[in-house]
Amino acid sequence: MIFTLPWAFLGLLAVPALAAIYLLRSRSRRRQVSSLMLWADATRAHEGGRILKTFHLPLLLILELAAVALLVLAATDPRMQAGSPGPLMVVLDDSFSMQAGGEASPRRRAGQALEALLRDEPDTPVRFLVAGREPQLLGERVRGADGAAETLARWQCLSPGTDLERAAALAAQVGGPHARILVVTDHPPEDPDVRGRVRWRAFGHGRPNLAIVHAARSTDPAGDRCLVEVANFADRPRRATVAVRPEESDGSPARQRVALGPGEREALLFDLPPGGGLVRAVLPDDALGFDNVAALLPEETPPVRVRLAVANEPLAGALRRGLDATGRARLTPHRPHLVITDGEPPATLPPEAWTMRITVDAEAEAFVGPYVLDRSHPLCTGLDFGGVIWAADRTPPLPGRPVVSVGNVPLVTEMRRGGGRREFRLRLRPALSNLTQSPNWPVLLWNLLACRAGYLPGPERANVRLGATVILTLPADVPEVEVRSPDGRTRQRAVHDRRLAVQATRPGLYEVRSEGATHRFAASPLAPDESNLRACEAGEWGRWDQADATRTGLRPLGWMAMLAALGVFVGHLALAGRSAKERNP
Amino acid sequence: MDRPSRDYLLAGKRAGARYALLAPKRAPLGPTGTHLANRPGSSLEFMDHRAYHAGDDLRHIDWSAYARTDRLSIKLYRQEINPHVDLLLDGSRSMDLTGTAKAEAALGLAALLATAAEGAGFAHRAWIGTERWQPVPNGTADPAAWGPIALEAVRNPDEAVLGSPPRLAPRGMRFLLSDLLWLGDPSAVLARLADGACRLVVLQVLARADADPPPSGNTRLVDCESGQEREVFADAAALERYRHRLGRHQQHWHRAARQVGATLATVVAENLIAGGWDVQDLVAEGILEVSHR
Repeated sequence: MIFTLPWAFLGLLAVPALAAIYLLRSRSRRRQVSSLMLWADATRAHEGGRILKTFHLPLLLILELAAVALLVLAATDPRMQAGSPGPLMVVLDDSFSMQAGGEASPRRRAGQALEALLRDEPDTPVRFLVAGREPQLLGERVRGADGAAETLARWQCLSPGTDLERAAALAAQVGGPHARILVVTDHPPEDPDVRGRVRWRAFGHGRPNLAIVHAARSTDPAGDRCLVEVANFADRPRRATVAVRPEESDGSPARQRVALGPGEREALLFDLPPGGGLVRAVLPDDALGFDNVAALLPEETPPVRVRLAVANEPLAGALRRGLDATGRARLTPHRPHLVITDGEPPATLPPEAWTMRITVDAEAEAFVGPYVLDRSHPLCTGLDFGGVIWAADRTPPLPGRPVVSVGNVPLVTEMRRGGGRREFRLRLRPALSNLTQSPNWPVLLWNLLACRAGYLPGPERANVRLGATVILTLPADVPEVEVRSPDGRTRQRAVHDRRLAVQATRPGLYEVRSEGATHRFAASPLAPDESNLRACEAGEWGRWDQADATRTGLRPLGWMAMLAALGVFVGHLALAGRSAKERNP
Repeated sequence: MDRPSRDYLLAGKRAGARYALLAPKRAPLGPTGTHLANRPGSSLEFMDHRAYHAGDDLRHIDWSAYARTDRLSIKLYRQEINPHVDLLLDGSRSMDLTGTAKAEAALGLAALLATAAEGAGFAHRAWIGTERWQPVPNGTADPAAWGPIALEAVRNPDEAVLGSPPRLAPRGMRFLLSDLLWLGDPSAVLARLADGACRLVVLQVLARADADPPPSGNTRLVDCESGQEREVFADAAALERYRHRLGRHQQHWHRAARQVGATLATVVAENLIAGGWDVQDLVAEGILEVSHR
């Protein structure tokens, strides 16, 4: 049993005071009288009579003392352990800034502090949460330092950011109302007034740090180009050499020196020979080595194979010009990704081929608007039909979901088929329209190609920031792939609807292998907020021994003491009333 | 006699000089005396006429009246008496209750009555009731000359009255000064005292603490005579019951006094002294009169 308000025991001083008052008040005064005969039936104070009368005064005193003691006990807010103690929810900052400092990193110091804490509370159930961009429970509930060691080994601090507030909220939700919450991080809370059952412990230390905060790679037939942006998160100027090192070719690394003032950033461009594979931009070691490396793969944009089967010559010309303008289409009749036709689509098409079927209406009505566009559809990105005359017939209506309409007349529709295939329908009479002469025409075709290219096998982006989720498109006949992460571990992943989402939880090169093809993407930390260590500090905010914290997991007993005191009061009243009745019959 | 007792007697004597004892209406039979009684007697002082009844002394027939009225009538003469006053003072310890003016009032009243008796031409004798009733040394003289009076007996006066009664003067007036706070049959005591007396006056002398004790909470009461102790809770209710019992006790005595033709009056000592020994109650009872000497 513990007492939340032990100073209330000072109230026990009332016990001797009450006893003294009682004894002084009940002390008999000696008085001489002429005769006792007239006092024969006066109430006797201490002697004679029935048992109740014999113990009348002491019993009242005892009841009063008991009531005082019970009230004091209730005031101390006594609590008893209710079964098992409330869980300890530990929120672990999983951001990579916790790695700063090497052997003296916040991660290591926090681990030691947690071990010491859990050794002091071996019976307390502990649950860990890692607070990355998204909070996540880490393992099952454990007890004691030994039980927590295995779980803590999985706390690797690789996240490019942290949301400790969300993690603490999740901890409170998971732990329940009696849980204590310990936040372990390297920086102080935004609001230093941490109250209740949350305790915030920071183990950080402000350090200067030079980091790569942005990196990109563009690919061109003439050669690749890398952009590396370096930031100096320090209070002093720094000089460093940035090297871009080819990892899959024999070329020598490209180097550039950079001199940065406090808080400055500088973007560096590196020209690379064409055809190179993975390269790494590297900074010299400093307080945080995690953000000194950025991995970059060539950003490959394979062309979309388009079969053009359009009999209407003006329309076919407009289509050729538009497709050429995009630079992403390769007109070919073999294994097309996209078939554009003004007649019936060919009967034999590869399963991954999309179709754009254009209906050239003989009877057409020229519309000038207003046009209704489904802005959520990728086909409508960047379109502006102001001033556009679109000639089409109202009937028969186009099947599918309208993407572009004028009034209630669909002009472009979409139908989704199995296997990720899509079929677009467009109706247009070019002779009465100016759409093909407007800038919207190549934009519409570029959107169509980009939409189709997004479903070509491979990742949507070759270079991503750490923590990003990469969507890979796979051939229709691939049910399962093997994902190899930068640490060398491989996992089999099932493919749903030709799509696979892979989250880049570690920096480096990811490989997704399927039968006959390997797709790759690279992840780099690139998180300026985490690379900036100047705001890190050590400290402790909030205390569990405050009233709200220490009550967790304990059953309050004060109400029982209050009830007992009430019973004693009732007994006292009854006894006092009975004795008064006896004195004054 | 110690100094305070002497002072009490002197104070009573001074107060008694303002009063004279009234002769009782029911005077004792007796041929001679120095005072004319209120009843017919054999003195030379004409009192009244009344019709003749058979057996009356023929020498008292008023023949002149018979001549005038043709009726026989008797001349009545006042009785001539020579009264004596016996002052019986309760000598128990309760009459000298510590912290009260009870002894002062009792001794003063005795001196007052003796002085008033002397002023009325009555002889007096003071008695003190201890283990037995015995005359106060020099108790027939002026109160200032009385011998020592010790109020320290542990025996109630009734036991002495009934066991060894004093030799009181026949046909005299008798005054009993006591607090009457004892258990027993007052009728027996009063009957014994009233026997042969022409008048019995009982003066109950109480201290204010006897008549109206203050509330004192838990109190250890000590009987000043027996030394017995009793723990009581003297709250308002207990005191009310005390006063009720005292009233019943006094009624008991009043009833007994009426039975024997005695007069009973209660005096609260502190009130008497604070009032300058004003005994108007006794005057109203026809025991005393204001002296015109």
